[in-house]
Amino acid sequence: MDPAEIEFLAEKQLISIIPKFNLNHTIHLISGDIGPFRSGIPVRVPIWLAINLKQRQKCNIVVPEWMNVETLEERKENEKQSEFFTKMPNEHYMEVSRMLFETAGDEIQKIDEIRTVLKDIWDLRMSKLKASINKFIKSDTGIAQLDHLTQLEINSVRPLLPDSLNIISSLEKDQDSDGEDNSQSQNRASSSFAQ
Amino acid sequence: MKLCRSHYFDLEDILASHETMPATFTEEVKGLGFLDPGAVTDNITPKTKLELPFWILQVLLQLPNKPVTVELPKAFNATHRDIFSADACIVDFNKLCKFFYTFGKILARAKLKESPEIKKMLVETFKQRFRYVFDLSQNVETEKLASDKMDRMERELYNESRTAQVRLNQWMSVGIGTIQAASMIVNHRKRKLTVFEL
Repeated sequence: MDPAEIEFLAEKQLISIIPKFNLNHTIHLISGDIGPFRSGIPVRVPIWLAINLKQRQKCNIVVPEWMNVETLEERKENEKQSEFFTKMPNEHYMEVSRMLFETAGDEIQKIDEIRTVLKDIWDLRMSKLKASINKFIKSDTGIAQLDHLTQLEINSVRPLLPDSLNIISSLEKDQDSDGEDNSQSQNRASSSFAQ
Repeated sequence: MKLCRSHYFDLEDILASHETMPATFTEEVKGLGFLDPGAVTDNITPKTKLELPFWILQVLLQLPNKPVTVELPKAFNATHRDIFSADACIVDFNKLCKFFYTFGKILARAKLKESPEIKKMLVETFKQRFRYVFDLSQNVETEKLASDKMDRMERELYNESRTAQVRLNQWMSVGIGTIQAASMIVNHRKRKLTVFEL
């Protein structure tokens, strides 16, 4: 999966905005109804709409609660202390923060600090993930439990991890899954032999 | 992912079964003299030593009178098995055996007396070398490496995960404006047009 596709999925999350316009009827979409919009009254909309409205200067984005230095520093400490992965404030924390930094940078306090802390958290989690993958491959166990990984993080080890596991299982197997490997190379050999 | 599937026309598999093994003939084989460049007759005489590709040996080994005995190729003999168990990461598969895993898999299934040992060794070697391939693919962005010790299967694994990593890095640094159509879909349209013009 491409990181852009995961960003696309993250755009479906709801976020609060304060519109600068009035729209009295609701908009009916497959994913749910949006609106009505009253100027100055917060309303929940998908991120893609929030970004679009923000770009046209039609709204202010209410920065999510978790996106401040104190909360994130705390998460970072937890992540550092814990041997396992800790729960992130948002299952698309990297994507959401990226999108908001790009479009609503003017509304986020201490944006550079937040950016640094988020990158630290990401790096911590990635090194944890890499270490545990190494351990998992070296061990003989067939299962591993990894809680609280976000989609982007899972995607960062694709296709390497599933492919490696495939290779290992194919090396361990006696026959290919179709069970004809031996007879096939034998056929090939004998037909070449006949010529 | 085609890494571990083999089928009749699988090029990897065909190339891998072309790896040679030292073989000694114990009985006379009629009509195979052309295999031995030094042969004077059309037949192969006993005690002839030849390096033969695996696919031909496989057939010879299955004959009821077993006219040949084979030795394991260099990469799979006891000395190298010891090296692999000591430190698999230092071995240069590019020089030693380009199709190490694919060929090893074929050997492991060939019911030689060393087969079970080879099978165990393959898995262990891959597990040991995983770290090497993994680290490279996460941290190197070029396709051509100055010195690489990977065999074909590892290289494919490396390339696949390297491209994924590059895409992630790109997204991290600049982001991606619009989602690109998969190359298969782009090509699909091209093909349709040519059909249409015909």
